[in-house]
Amino acid sequence: MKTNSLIAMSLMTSLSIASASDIDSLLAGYRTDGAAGFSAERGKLLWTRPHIIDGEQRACSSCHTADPVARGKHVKTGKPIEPIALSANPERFTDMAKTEKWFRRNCKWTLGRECSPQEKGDVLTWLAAQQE
Amino acid sequence: MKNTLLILISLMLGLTASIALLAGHDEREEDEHHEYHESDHDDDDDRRGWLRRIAGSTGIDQYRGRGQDPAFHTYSNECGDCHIAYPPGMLAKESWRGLMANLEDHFGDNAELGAETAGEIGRFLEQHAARTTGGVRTSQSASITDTRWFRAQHHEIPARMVKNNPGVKSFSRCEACHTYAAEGRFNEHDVRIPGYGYWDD
Repeated sequence: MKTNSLIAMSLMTSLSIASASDIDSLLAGYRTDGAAGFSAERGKLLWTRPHIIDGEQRACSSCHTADPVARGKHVKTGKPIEPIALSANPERFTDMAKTEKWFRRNCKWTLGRECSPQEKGDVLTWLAAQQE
Repeated sequence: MKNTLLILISLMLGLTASIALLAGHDEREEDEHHEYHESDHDDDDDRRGWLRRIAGSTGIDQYRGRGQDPAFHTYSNECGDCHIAYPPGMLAKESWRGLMANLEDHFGDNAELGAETAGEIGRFLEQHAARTTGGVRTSQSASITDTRWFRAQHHEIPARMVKNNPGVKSFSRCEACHTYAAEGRFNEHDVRIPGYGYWDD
């Protein structure tokens, strides 16, 4: 019994699988930074809406595809991108610093500015709801 | 008496063989040392590749286990997210510096990093940068593929095999043709161009 629980514990610590609590703590952080209630609908709109930056049409879906469960592909380098949806890729959003790093980079590239806490929360809410 | 003599002779033979082996080993170590500090080494001339030269291994975990520079791990993790971790020796120090100062517009992508991470990676790249003189491995754009060295290495490859080849698209995708690029090896004998097969010049 003791061995079983030990094995279970070590399995849990060795696998980094995003849980509801990872997303929840990100969302809680965005609320602290001024966001109100989050909307999956708004998140979806933000994901697919194209922007013209440097004469190029860009959207989140340019690299991640319109279907978050699908594998993406970097629009320029062609490097495969693992699915962004939690249901298809449990490693997503397990590392807060990494999540924020990519939000910063990709919002600037796609929208020409950083995303607000509200926008990040909306997108995350939508992504968390996507089922394989 | 005869037996003792035989034992003595075999002992001596064994000793000589061990010394020879040890000497051989030393020589190899020296070679490595020499190559590492050589100012004009070509990565493609080194069959073991840069990962083995810098990290002592192509496996990151093993490298870390040896207690060496953890910046290597940071570099391959952070930069390897989007493209292969290019060998630091493919670009001169000043070009790496220019590149690291402009991560916000990284060949059209935003690749900015926190100051601490960027500093660690910058130091690592400069420490292992090319030591060539005469600007052979510098480029204004900080692009490896714009250096004179890179162009000279690839001048025989026509555009249809790279730029107009859907399996390659750009010279920056080393791994498309250099089959061991991920392990840090760029030897020309390992080149296989998608749609064209093995390259032999």
